[in-house]
Amino acid sequence: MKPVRKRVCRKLLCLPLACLLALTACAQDTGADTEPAPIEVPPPVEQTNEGLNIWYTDYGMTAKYLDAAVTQYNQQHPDNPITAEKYFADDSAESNDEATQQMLTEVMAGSGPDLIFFDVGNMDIEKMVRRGVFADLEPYFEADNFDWSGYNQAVMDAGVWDGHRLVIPLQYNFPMLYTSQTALDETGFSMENCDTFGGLLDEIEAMQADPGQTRDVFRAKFTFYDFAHYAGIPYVDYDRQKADLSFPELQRSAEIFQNLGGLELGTYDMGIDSAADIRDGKALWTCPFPPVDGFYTGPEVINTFDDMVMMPIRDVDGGIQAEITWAVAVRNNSPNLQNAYEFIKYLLSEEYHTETLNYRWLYYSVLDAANDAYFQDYVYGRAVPLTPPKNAYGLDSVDVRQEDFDELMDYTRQITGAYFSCAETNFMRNMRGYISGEVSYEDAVKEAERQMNLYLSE
Amino acid sequence: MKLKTRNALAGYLLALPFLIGFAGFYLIPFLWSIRFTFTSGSGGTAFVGLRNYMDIFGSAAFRLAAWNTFRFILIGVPLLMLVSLVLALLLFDKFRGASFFRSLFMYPLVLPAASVVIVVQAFFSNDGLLNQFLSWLGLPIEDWIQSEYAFPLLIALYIWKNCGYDLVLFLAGLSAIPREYREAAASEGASYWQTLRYITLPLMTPTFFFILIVSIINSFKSFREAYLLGGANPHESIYMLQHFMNNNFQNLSYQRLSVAALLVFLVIFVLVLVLFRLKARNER
Repeated sequence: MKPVRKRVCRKLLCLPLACLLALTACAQDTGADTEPAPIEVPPPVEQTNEGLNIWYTDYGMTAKYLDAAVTQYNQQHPDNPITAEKYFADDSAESNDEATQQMLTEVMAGSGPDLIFFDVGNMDIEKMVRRGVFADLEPYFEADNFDWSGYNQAVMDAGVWDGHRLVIPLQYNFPMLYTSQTALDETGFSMENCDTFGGLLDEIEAMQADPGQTRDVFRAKFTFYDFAHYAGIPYVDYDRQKADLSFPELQRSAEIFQNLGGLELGTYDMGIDSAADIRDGKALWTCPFPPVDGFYTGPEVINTFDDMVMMPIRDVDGGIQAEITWAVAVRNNSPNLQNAYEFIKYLLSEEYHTETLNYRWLYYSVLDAANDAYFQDYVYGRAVPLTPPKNAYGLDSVDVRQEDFDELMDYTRQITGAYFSCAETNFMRNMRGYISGEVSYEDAVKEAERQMNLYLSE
Repeated sequence: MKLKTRNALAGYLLALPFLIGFAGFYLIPFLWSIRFTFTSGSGGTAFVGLRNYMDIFGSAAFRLAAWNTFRFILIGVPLLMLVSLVLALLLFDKFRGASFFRSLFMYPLVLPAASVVIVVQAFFSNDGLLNQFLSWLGLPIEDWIQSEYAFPLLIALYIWKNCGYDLVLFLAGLSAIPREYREAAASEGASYWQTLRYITLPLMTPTFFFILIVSIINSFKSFREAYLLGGANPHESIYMLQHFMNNNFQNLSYQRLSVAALLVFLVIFVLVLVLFRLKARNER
């Protein structure tokens, strides 16, 4: 008996070891030379289309959009209403994040809401796409002959991977800089040279190297924080699970950012105080937040004392990169894909945007007509002055100019690409040691690359 | 019904509450996670065969985590057992203050991990006491927690935290050896080392095996300290399997998480099986 038991015992030990060795041999380490596999979307489950569940929190502006959307949609579709579960985060970012994580856990376990809404930077969309989390809605858009004209195509295409429409962007932002003509003339900053990201770097470096320069290049450091994305530098490859931080533009930009002084990002450019700083010679460029209303309450005020000048931060190829700030996707195993499509179609509709114009002051809508409507209805010719009459900066209220708005909208049509931001792969976030002066650029980038490669291969 | 059958049935009935709980909270989720490892997508609706396993083995992060975990066990567990055994041998004899020292070595075990980490950071962080001391001496400083020194630091922390537990187990093992054996050996002229080598250590074999298994299991709990020290993405020298699994949970990669967890289970299962077989052979 004993020898037989010994043989059985050895087999029990050898079998899993053999399997492990076989799997190790079959495993392929993704490398720079290997062609990445196309994105695979698991087939949809059996469809019942009985209602639709959505989930969102009361944290941030998107709750107001969705409150209005659910109310109006259910009024129009009483036979097929949406069930909305709203989580009250009590203005706590931590509570919001925890609740969102719990919701996503339920989604991955196979239950949870049908629709998943993304706010700026709160999830790694690229990873989730590659995990097969989202359903492909392209067949529904095609079957319905959805009219994409009127929408920002470059932004909408950011939600398409290998022909699969997995994420539908709803709002976006893009980097616009504003200053006065006088400030430009004083500093000698050449806008003509900034038709690419490299040209912008040349101008900024020249300004920083000028010992006679008294103006800061940017009023707020945050303006330049996401330069790696603005530049369109492909330093992260999710398919090959590799980061490449060897681009010279990254080092130049990091040095520029470090020369902006200190680790603290500083305050946002909120409004008329940024216009005042440009008038008073403290800074050259402002980038207001929120980008939509901030344009009217900050840069437009420059027109009261000078000629306002605007310029986008262009990418390395001369295009413009947009950041998706609000988007929606449908979980892959939802049995209500048709209902999900109908609701998303409503979220994209001009009717819905018109009903919620009063909330459109934060980011740009993917529907161009909505941006126009907000300007016409809420800004142009408004009775209440945009700038408080008795403000601390002695600035007059401005009549916003149609030609300035048209120029801004023209830049939205020059957007050539869009991205979903992710904290773990943010270049500057991984370079804190260099920015604070603790380590050299080479050491910091080596560590950042290691961290990102580890994160991408997880 | 025969008495044997009746007794067996009674036994099963009495064990039923536990079996239901075990099945509901351990067995069924375990089997479900195994099923999950062969799927992709939310809810695991698409069957993909062994692709997740091949992806895991192709993942640089997983290979690094597996190597670090293996290295940690290979170095940390024997060191911990050696330190605990030496302390147990020292504290086994009755001397003044022996009880005090036994209690002293137990204190790290009851301290909260977060408190321990705060103290470690106070000493070894970039602006910690050690760097301030080195700076005062004019020597170069180092971010000990974010460098290759993080690994020995974690080993030291693991030993310091767990040696009290193993110490108690070794003391119990030593107490179980009849005193007469040592007295007989002494009367035959055996030295302390001869008694230790030929009587004490062989008779403590069951204790050794038990402590080895417990120490390996406890080594996986060091993730708590490693996570508090280095965060979700620590220095690569202390990036362990638990970091890999935790980060995959945060990124909703539940299939990869399940594969990693299953592989860890299989390795520990095989290891414990081998240890038990060796123990049984040794006892024969």
